[in-house]
Amino acid sequence: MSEPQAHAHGADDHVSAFERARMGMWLFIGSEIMMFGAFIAVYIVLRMSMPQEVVDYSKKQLHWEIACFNTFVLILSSYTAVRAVNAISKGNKGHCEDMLIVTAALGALFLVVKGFEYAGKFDHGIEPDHNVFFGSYFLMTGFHGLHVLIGVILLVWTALYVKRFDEHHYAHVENLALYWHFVDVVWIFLFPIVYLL
Amino acid sequence: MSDPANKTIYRNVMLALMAGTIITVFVAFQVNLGRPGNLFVGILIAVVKATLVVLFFMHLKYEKRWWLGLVLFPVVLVMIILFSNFPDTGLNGEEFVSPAVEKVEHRAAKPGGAR
Repeated sequence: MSEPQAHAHGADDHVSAFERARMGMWLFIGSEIMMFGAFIAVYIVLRMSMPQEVVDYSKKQLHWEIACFNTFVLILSSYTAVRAVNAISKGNKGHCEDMLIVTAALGALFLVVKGFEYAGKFDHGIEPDHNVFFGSYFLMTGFHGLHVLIGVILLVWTALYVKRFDEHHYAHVENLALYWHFVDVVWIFLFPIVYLL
Repeated sequence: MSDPANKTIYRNVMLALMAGTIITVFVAFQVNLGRPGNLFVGILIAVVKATLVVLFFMHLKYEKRWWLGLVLFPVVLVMIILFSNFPDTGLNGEEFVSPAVEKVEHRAAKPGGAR
């Protein structure tokens, strides 16, 4: 094999490895869709079966304004995550690092706000066994919060190491961003169905 | 590897997502379409927002078309879970008593009791 041919073959391998990595991430996201989808489906079924007074009482205990603020925080963090991917694709590791740190900071802000929200509930004696509504509320927002926490840890870790990455690690940043966007998508559904409607 | 989209697209998607959030809040508090109507509009806006994220932020628009199946297949499975449980949603907290049990209880209530 001549040198240019070998080089082209190596480049093809790299592209194909990059594609496989993303496809693996999409398969993982597919399994996550089923998990959160099942939670949301169960919540809708329980919600439609609940007496209206339980729904009205439970809604009064929630602060939609706080959740709305958190929605904007996550949307902004999704934007900074995609900017990180854009930066690494152009070889701009410094900007990628900055964007990853901002994304992690926004994720941490989301968790702090969520922590205050949970603390407020516990102070009022509202725990997962309070009623069916709050059982679903803590299950869905708790699992979502856990995903945000894992995302923040991975974002910080990646930001620390991104300057050592070469072009083969581009898929790492892209996959992390895919995960983060998925976390955002889940919240896009949770916000209206739990807090507003 | 180059990013298939550009900063302008990303900024516009972000603004559309924020606008969608404001519209959702507006519909929930200012528009009265009845409870099912508001729920439908709220979920519809969420679906549009999620589609924007998946297509542009997650770059699915630029991937091979069959990859869309990786997202749609689990969504279909979730819909099956949801709709297969809908018959249980009309109870509104009432205790469900099957017609067979009702029949036995009715017989038991009669003079002479059930045999």
